[in-house]
Amino acid sequence: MALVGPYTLVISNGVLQNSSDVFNILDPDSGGSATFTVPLSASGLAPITHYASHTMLEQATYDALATMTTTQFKAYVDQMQVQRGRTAVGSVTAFKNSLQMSVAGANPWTYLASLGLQRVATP
Amino acid sequence: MSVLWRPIFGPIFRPLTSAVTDVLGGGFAVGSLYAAAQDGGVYDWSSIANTYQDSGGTTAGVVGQVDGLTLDGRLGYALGAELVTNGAFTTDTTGWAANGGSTIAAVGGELKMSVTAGGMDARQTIATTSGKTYRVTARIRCGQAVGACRMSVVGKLDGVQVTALTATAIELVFVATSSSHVVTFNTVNGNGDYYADDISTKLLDGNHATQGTTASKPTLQAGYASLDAFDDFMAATSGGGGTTGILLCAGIRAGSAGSARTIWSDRGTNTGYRLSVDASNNLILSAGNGTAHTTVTGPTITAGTDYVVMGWHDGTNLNVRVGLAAATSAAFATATAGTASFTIGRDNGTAAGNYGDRIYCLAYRKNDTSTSAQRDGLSRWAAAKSNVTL
Repeated sequence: MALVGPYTLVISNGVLQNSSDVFNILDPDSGGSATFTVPLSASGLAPITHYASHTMLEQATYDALATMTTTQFKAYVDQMQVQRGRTAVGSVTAFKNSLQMSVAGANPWTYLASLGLQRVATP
Repeated sequence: MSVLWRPIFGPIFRPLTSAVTDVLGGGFAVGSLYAAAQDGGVYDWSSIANTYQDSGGTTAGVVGQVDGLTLDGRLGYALGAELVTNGAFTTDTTGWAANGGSTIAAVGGELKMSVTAGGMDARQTIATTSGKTYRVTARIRCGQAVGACRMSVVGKLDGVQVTALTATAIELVFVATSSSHVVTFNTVNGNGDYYADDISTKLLDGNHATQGTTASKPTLQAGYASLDAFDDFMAATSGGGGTTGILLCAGIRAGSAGSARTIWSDRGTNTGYRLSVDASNNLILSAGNGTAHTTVTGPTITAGTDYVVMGWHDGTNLNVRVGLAAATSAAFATATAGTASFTIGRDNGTAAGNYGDRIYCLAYRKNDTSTSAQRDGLSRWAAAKSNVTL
């Protein structure tokens, strides 16, 4: 299935685990739990306040992220969980409420700057 | 094997047909560097022929889509011996077991599997070596409009679901994690009859580069892989950890300066090797001796320009060069082994140093003892893959 994008996704540090659990299901491949790996903060220095990902998405997943209510999104995630045989996730509310997403093809650095965020350099 | 199927088999398995052209370039057979079973890896993104969109190798690479698996071509994509017993079903189903209540028979040179409930399949256990990569191929079809069938490796991965009534070529790649695995022909849903033929499983040896996280997959383009300088990279689970030498050669397009970016690394804390560009776009090779890293800084490369870059350690010096220019060198004796795995396009084991821009090809030889002529030949190979004039 052709993927669309790429999109830059940003979530707050506090929902990293929930976001990883959700993308463990939404990623068509096996490594979705490692989707959010780019650490961010306003200053580019620790502490990390957000994480980002620059990713292609299945069209249905993009539609779910972009247009669905939290309730609809939970039903979509649950459907994909069964279809793919992945580990079920409880609430998706924290992830869905935190997610910020660029338009397709946007420069990720420009998008982060628009949110007032920079990559945190790791030693 | 059903001869009637032959005319409708469009897909021919690409690694078998592309091996010769993939390992030759610039008049140099890159496979000659590995003729004595040297460890390393050869990755050729100048063609999508040996790439897959998923890390399980079930969906062939397509321009504009992601790269989840790039096969290591240093051994010429050669396949091992056939591990499946009676995959052609010429006369019977010897070697195959009907599981879960299915019934199987050889009909017209195909395996016919009749299913009346979920959980039924036809299966065979094959001997494997943990850590080695295997390729499963088959031609499968449904006997009715309802239902879907697929090939699977139990506990590893499921192949593409086929709903067609005509034979469809299937391919999937898996890394063994035990001394045996079970290959199955199974249904996804729907009772009825399903057919399989030419089921094969063979060793596909190599340090294949994979990426199982879609966000971190490079994008396949016409003639190269594109990395986003953000979170893209690939990794091989074995082949790293050399100490007495290394040879790294890549065809790349230089990205924008401003941050350090890694081309290849098996680096640990003061161990291993890394070929990279620094924040000023200087080409860098570093090696660790367990106490510190020694670095040699080569020429500056210009953003937006294609280069063949090379770094090597010959047991005496670390060396880097661009094209066929004279090398820049720094004394270094013996490295302390880095990790057994290695990373392409990002720091090894750390979410930093992501490369940005094109990689056309990359060749790596562990514990290298190459000659000057071999290195020049390898540069010509990379130049041919990258459309660079040396």
